[in-house]
Amino acid sequence: MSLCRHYVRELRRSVLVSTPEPERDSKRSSAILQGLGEMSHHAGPSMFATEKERDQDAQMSAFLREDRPGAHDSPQSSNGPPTRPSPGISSSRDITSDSNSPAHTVARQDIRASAEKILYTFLLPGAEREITLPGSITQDVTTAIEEYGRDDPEVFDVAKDYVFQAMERDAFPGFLRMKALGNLIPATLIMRLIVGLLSMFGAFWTAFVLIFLNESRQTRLWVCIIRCYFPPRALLTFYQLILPFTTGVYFLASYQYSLDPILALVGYSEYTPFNFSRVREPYVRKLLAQRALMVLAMTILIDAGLCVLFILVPGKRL
Amino acid sequence: MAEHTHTHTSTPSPVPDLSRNRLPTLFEVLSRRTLPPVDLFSFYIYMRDQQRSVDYLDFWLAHLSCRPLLCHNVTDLNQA
Repeated sequence: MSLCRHYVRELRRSVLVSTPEPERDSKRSSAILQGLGEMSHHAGPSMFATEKERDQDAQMSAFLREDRPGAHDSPQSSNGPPTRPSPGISSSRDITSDSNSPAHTVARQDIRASAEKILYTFLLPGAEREITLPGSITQDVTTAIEEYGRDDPEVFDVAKDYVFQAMERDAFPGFLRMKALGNLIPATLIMRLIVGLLSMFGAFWTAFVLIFLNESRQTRLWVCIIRCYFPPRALLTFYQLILPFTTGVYFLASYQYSLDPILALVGYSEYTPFNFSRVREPYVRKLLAQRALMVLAMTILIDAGLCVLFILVPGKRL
Repeated sequence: MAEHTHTHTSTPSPVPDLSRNRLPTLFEVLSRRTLPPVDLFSFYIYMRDQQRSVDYLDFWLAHLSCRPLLCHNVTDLNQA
């Protein structure tokens, strides 16, 4: 248990330091961190990187099944919810228990407590953070843990595979689409849509005003191209026509493709609203840069088209 | 993390694969072999904010938490 607590401390610290979103639904967030902290730790090294590790895990499961304490060791498991062993009891059963020593032993009871904790937190109907699993899987795991007293990792294998497949099918494609094909998140995309539409509205408004006031085409054209001849008007046109069109097209394009081309070219991706971090995965970086160039080219083309159209269209004084 | 690596010298620490010329798989993300923005932390934030089903990911991570404990326990029992 002390080892577990050590991991909890480490993980919680790392997550708290790195999480960029402390305020929004902080209650839920902290609850998640609490849950994560209590039950998990660094995931990587403990996964099966190779077949060898898988074999080791299978051997371990077999070993634990042979040696499992069974019903006699945990009488509370068959009737009613089991009480989680307190740290005091736990450490009294440890052979050597020292939270600072990496080589200390962990009592078998703690493994069992850990398995039960997972069962009662995630799997049982009405659990605090219940995940939706087929009834038969939940039933099998419950039976294995409560009635047969198993606590080896293979108990959760079916549930684990189901959860993996569910994430792979439902969440992962969207995740890749969002992170590898774009660099913005939905919350700020809506904002971009609003800004883009407002800009376009302003741009069209100005353009039609200039047309119906019958500003001469030459003025509209020349003020754009040779600004030095008519500096004040050129500036006015720039602010009134070109700037809103450019902003509008840029923001609408970034909404359409979930991609801010300039930020993508610089190499940034959005984690939480207005919180950007560097893109370090090489392939994703390449992908984003390609898409950014495409979006940028399209933005410039449409923007230029709109500006030229509204500058060249014949004026008519109403 | 340093202590963790030290503790489990038998299982190598995951190294991000920089030469990967394709999108990562879910397994690579979960085993921390990817870099931002497709790393585990991003996936956690995505599951929390967009997918609203972070419990699935937490179950996966919690399930893994048994294994190092088991390593210690089995080694100790074998020695005994």
